[in-house]
Amino acid sequence: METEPAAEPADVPAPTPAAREPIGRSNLMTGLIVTAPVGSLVISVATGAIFILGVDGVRAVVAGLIVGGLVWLVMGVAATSFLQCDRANRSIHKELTTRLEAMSAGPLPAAAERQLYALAQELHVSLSSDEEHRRLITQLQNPPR
Amino acid sequence: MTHSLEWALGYGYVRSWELLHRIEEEKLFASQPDELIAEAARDTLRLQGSNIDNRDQLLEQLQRATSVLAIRSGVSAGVIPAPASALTGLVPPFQPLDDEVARRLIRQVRHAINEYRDDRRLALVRARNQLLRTIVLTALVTYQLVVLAILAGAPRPAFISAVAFFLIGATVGLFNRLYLDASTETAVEDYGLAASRLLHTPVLCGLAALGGALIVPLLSAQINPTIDDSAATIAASSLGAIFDITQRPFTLVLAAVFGLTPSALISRLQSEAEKYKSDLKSSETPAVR
Repeated sequence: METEPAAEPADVPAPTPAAREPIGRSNLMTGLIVTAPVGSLVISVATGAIFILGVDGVRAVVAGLIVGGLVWLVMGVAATSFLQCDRANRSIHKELTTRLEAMSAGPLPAAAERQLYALAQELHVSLSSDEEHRRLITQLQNPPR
Repeated sequence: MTHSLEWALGYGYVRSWELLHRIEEEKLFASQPDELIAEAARDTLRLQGSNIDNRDQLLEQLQRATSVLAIRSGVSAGVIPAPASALTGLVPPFQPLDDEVARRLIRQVRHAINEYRDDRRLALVRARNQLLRTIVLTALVTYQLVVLAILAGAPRPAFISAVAFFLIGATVGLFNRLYLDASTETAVEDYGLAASRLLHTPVLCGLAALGGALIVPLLSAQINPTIDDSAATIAASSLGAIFDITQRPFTLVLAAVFGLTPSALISRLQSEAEKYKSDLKSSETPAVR
C-alpha cells in the first residue's frame, strides 16, 4: 500500500496562540449551537424560578436572562469536549473505523487508497501500511542482536 | 459549516459513510473474480430482504453479471441460484470486455445499495436537526410566555399553578413517550433522533397541557352564559380563577389529558424515523441483520 511520507517533527508548524483563538471561539459557538435546545429552556426555567422566589417585573426577566445565559454558557463550554468526530458519536465512529480498517486490508487502487488515508486521518485513525507490516515481519524474522 | 459543527450535527458521519462507500466500490471493481462473485452473492442477499426501488432489476443485473464472471473464471456460481431468465442471451465464450461490463454492473448494484443506505442516514440526520430547531423555537416561545406573564404582573400563586399544569402535562407526555418507545427499533443507529424526540416531548406536552387548562374553562364559561352576566367579566375574572389550583383542582386532570394530545404528532414523527431505520436494517449484510 502506498503511504504518505511521514512528516518530520520539525516540519509540523506549532499552532500560534493567534491561530488557536479562532478555533476556540468557533468551538465555543458550536458548543452553544449544539446546546441551544436545552439552553433556551434553561433561560425560561431560570426566569420563572427567580420570579417565584420573589423578584418582580423587569428585574426578574434580566436576572433570569443572566443566570440562564450563564448556565447555557457553561453547558456550551462543556459541550466543546464532545465536538470531535471520535467523541460526538462514539458508536458511529467505532462502526466507521472498523469498516475503514477492514477496507485497508488487501490491495486498493491508488486513488481509492489516497482517499482512504485522507478519511482515516480525518477520523483520527492510524492505519498501518503494507510497508509497515513488511518491516515488522522482517524485524520479527531477523531480530536485532 | 465549521468542522466541529459538522460532526456535532451528524453531517460529518454521513459524508464519511459516502466517501467510504465510494472507496469500497472502487475496491470491489478491482477485486479478484472469486472475491467479486462472493461480494455479489452478499449483495443478492442484501437486496432480497430490502425495500430498495428497482430491487428486481438490480437482482437480475447482479445475477447476469455474476454468471458472466463465473463462466469466464471457470467456476460454478452455485451460491446464487440464477433463474433461467437471468441467463437468457448469455452465450459463452465471453470476451475481456464482457468481464469489464460485468464488473461495472456489480459496482453499479453496490452503488445503488450504498446510495440507498446513505440517503436513509441523511434523512435521519436531517429529521433530527429539524426537530432540534423546532425545540429551540418552541422553547423561545415558552420563554416569551413566561416574560409576558411576569411583565403583566401575574399573581405569584397563578404563575405557580401554570407551572404545575405545564409540569403535569410534561410528565404525562413523558410517560406516553415511554409507552411509544417500547415499539421502537433500537439496534439501528438513529443519529440522535430518539434523544431529540425525548427532549421535544416535555416542551410540547407541557404547552399543550397549559393551553388545555386555559381554553376548556374559558370555553365552558363562554358557552354556558348562566355562569356570569357579562362576557367581559367572565374573561377577566376567569384568568385569575383558572390558574388557581386550590379553587379548581380539576384543572389538573384537564392538564393531564391535554398533555397526551401531542402524542399523535409525536408518533407520526416516530413512524417516519422507524421507516428509515427499517430501510437501513433491511439492506444490511444478512449476518448483521
